[in-house]
Amino acid sequence: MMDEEVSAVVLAVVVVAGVFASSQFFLSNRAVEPFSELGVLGPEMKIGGYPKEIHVNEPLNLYLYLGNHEGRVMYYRVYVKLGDRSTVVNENVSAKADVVAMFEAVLAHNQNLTLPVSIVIGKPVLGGRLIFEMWVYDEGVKGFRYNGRWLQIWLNVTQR
Amino acid sequence: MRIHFVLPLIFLFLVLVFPPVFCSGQPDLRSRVRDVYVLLVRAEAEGGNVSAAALKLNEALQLIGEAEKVEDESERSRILGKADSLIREVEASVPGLVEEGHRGKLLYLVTMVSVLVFLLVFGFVFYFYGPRFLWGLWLRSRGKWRVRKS
Repeated sequence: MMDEEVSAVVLAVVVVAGVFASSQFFLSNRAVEPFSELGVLGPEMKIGGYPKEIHVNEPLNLYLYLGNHEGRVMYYRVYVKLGDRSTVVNENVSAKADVVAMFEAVLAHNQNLTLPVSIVIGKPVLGGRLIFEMWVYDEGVKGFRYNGRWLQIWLNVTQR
Repeated sequence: MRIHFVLPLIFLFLVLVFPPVFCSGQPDLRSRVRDVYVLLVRAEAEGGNVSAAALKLNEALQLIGEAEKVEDESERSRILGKADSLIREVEASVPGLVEEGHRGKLLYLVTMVSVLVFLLVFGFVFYFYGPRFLWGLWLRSRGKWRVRKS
């Protein structure tokens, strides 16, 4: 009687441990919740300290941060657009505004990249929004599609 | 005979008048990066580890971006040449990555089956011989204990 109880307990422990080990083995390299990261860092490579006012044709030096946790290799394109207060941009709609710069990167799963970027704006703007949009290459349609990640920096561009 | 002089002159004229068409090369390289990226996606789906290849492709993209800012034609060609060789390198590595992926998948399957068989055998062995073994250990450690009458 006692032997059977001990056997059952031991077997249960072995089964639970086995199932746990197998699930870890299966799921170790899979992204449970796939996502991509987009960040803009200031000239000091920190979150903050973004310039609020620049001159026309003066390079705006920032850092672009990209991270891939999609569980697969990704080809990213970041459009930098110059909009204003009325520009509509959200998770579903990309901004209809002039593209001032474009950056691309290919990242494998769990890779990230901090890219120094220099953006030049050639016209004066008051209350402008520098919008950073993340697009990803879709092999199915053989083109880039907006993946809903975006950021913005408010700034005035003045004439010297 | 005259045509031998005229054709190079026409070519020279076209190169001078439309330099971006003949010299830029960036759009072509970017489209090649896209093609190689699609190959990498397939290689990864086959189980290949594309981390190193992705880094090289990324380096090529940064070089293309750098070349777009350079005005000196020879310097631009040099940078684009470097990017081109990186893209070629990644493209050439794709069959190896696919092969490596196939081997990895086979190894994964073999490991998985081995682990399951081991767990099954271990479970049965423990079920039948475990209690005897555990009680044996218990007896060895506490078999000499005596019960005192208080």
